[in-house]
Amino acid sequence: MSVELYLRPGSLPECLDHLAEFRGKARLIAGGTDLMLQIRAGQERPEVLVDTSTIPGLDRLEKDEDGLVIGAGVTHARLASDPQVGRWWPALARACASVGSPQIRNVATLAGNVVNAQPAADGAVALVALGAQADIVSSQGERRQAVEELYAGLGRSSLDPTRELLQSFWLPPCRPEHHSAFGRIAARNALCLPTLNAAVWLDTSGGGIRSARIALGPVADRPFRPREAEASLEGVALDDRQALERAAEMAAREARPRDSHLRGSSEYRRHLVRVLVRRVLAEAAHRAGEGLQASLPLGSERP
Amino acid sequence: MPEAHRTVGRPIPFKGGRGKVTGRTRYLDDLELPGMLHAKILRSPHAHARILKIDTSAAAALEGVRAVLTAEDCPDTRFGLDVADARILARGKVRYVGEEVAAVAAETPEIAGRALELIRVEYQPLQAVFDPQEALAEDAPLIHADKPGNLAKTYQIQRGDFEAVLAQCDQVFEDVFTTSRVLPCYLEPFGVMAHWEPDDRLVIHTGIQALFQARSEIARALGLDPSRVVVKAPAIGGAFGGKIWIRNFHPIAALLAKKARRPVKYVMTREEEFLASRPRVPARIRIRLGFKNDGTMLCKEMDLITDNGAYSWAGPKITLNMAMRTDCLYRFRASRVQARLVYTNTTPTSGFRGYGNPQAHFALESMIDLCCREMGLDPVDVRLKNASRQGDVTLHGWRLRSCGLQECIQRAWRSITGNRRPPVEQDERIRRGVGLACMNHVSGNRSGDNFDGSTSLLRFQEDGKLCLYHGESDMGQGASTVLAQIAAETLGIPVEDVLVMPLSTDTSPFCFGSYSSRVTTVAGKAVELAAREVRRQLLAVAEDHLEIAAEDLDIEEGRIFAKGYEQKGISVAEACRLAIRTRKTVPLTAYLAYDPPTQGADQDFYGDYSSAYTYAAQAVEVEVDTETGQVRILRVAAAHDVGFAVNPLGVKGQIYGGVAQGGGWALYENLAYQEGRLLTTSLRQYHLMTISDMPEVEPILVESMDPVGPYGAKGVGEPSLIPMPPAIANAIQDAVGVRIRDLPITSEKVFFALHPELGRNKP
Repeated sequence: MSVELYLRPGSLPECLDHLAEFRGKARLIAGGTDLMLQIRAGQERPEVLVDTSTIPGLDRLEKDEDGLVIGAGVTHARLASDPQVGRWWPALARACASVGSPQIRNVATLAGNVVNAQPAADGAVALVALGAQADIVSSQGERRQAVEELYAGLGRSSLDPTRELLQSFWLPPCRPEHHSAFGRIAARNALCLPTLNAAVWLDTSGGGIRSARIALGPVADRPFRPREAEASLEGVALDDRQALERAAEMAAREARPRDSHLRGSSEYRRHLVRVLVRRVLAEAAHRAGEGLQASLPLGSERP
Repeated sequence: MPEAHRTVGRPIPFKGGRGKVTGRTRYLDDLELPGMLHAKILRSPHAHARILKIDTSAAAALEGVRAVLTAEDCPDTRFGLDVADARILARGKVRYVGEEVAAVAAETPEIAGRALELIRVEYQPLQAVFDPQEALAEDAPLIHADKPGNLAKTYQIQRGDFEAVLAQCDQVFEDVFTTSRVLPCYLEPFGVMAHWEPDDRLVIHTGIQALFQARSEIARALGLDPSRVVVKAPAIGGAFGGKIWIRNFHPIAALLAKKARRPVKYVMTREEEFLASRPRVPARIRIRLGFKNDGTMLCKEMDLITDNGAYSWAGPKITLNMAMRTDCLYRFRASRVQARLVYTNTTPTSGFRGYGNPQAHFALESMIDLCCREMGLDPVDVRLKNASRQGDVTLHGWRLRSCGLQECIQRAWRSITGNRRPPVEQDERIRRGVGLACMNHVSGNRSGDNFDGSTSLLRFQEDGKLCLYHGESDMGQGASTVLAQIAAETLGIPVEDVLVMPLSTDTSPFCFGSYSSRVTTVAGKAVELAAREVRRQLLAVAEDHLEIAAEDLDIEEGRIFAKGYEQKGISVAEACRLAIRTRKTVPLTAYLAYDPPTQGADQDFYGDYSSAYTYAAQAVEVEVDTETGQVRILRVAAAHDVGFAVNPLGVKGQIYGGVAQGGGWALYENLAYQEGRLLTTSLRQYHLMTISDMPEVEPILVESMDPVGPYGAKGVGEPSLIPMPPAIANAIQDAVGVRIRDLPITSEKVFFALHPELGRNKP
């Protein structure tokens, strides 16, 4: 089966009409960096492709007091280099800078990265730690859902790209006492899926850690939240290295990495969870201790 | 470098470079012929199975299909190299996942692909064996009925009185090293376009390294006389030894073209390249080294088990190189080796940059550091003390007419140990270390009485431009540029005035091809000698015209002039016009076959068989993250005795490339399998080194001025890859004290070596 029709809708309603018209035989395409490989390999066999890049407004990237809105057309390269994102959501900027190569980051969208639903997707792991929500539209209406809940199994999104469009992400407003960090371990420095990645978000209002979110990949069929480790951090002082180490050990116990001929044994990757979580926690705690967002000029936190 | 040189020794950009970077160069996949069909090959899904039945009727009936081929349609020939066991298409049995079972030629690649899905093959799966050691077991499944014990080839070679020398050793050490399956991963996938001329001659277009070898192998597979086959090479997008020899698809495309009576093109997909191209021969090497207490190396013994895959291509010769070549790196008094090349139900292995030599170097050069640690000696001093030198006749009878190994060791080590980064940082989490490994290689390779030279044809045109015909492929290494430089230098004309002609077995003079790092040395010499002859003819014309004796004339920058009276002269172009367009009838052409003054290896593989021998030392600095086991190569100092650098830009390019390919092999690259099924099916899973992983590289050119090679030059194509894995392993041990003996050196291996208490097999 080959793609027989390529549509370039000029508006969101037109796009949704196309999807409805072809009843599951049409798929949305943005950067196409995953989808085209899947079509070539015969894993996906859409008859119609509907290009979202011609829809006005999908490329918006707006920060205001209500938070951050990331349109579905925003690329990894843009998020990696945006000064506001780098300053307030450094975990996301760093994660987006880690994906693929410059050529891939220039066309691949964050929304595509999430819909593709790979547990190791760097951008998705950062979004989960940052508590991102997805705004989804279809001909049936609109809904808002946590990114974390968009997974229906390994490589399967609960969002149906033949019917629904992930219009944008929303990140809650970042206050000066919110801090995040992202890290990854991979076989080489570029164009490489991670052996392990991790993102953390800390709410440090009141001095110490008030609450924490940790996301890890690929140690489950979706970005994984080690809840016990997160809970253990509540009320911990930022400079309590032992508590951070304990949380990292907890995360390593909670994670269930599988043996992989390509990524490494479960023992090894479980150990890496401990190392990486400790490192990203320390980085976020360090930012908090230094008050980094407030003191640094815009743009200096670029990865 | 002599001041007098105007062209050789200069960093001249490669001929054809502009076309490549602007996208105008035409590779095989850019070529089309009227009526051309597209071929696809059905490959075995089984590692070992009997073929019970093949039904191609539905495929043949598909609209747009013009020919379908199975073993029934192929001549019942066996081909390959030393051990001819390959067939065009599988007959009766398949022996690896990816083996060619049937082929289709159709109007479009898509139709050909659909036709493959319509071919019904009934298989009866057989027990398969993937590990060479298991294949040697008595109860192992037999892969070829006529190859008992699954042995493709064995070698036993001894030099000197091994037992007596062993008895003189103060200390003897033994260890085992293994190397992995890796692919050349050239940028341009391999392929062929075949068509038959009305006079029944077969024309093959293919980007191959050795045209005349390809012609004879294709002829053998098809049962034709070689002169009925023409092989032409378009531009080649990289090869690294993986395109020296033909593949099954060459005769397959020829037979499809014959059956369909149309031209047929076949280009491998990248996925097919991973599944069915020829990986480096993996080896298990048991090595024993004997020393005097003062560090003098006395003897070396190796026991090799090498993986041939399911059919024999270059495996026998590669195993032989692996068995012998490193014996000539140091001044051993005796050596002994046993080697067994074993069939397995895996993709056939074959040539890849180094041709067996890198595997042996990984064992020897790792082992020397291990032994020196045990003995409390400095491994760099021990290498310097034992290094082979100019004038030596080695254990295998090589005559080292030039050898700059000691200088290479000294300069590489000085470079890497100067400006070192701190050995320990970040609470000892980061540790850095340095290591060095040496290497030796050849520039040509003669067995017995065989030709080991090159043939060159030079012909001036009437406008003073020179056409240079040779048969040595330029797959990106710069052969055309280097040969043009040598011709231009010898003739005194600008290098731009040398036109290097495209390769075709019909018009190119006979040559062996671009392998064994031989082209600069032997083809360069053939060009130099032919250029001298054309120069003689040119000067005779000028002598006649200027009425000045030829010996009083010189040529520079395209002008012939009287020595000491430069105003009096004539342009090369005018001399060419006089020679060709007037009644002088001077051909201004030289056709010359050159064979280097070597004796060749005898029945016992003894003898001086290469025009020149290259030596090198590479030192690296690495950084190890002790928490994760991750290794980063920080710097490489690569000192190579290249004899004389005809084109320093090209030599440095070879060094950067060898560092990337050798470093990638050491740390990242690996064809991973599960029960014979390939897991690394694309460049996404198979990790080459990227630009952001590249270390800082300092190329150091040691010019020993070889007395035989053109202007003193020797080869450098393969050498720069060879020392990388052991140099890295040595540097890792220097940094963190652990030794990895099996490639690739993954983070996980380093991690569990550092933290054995955390591993699955806790001590």
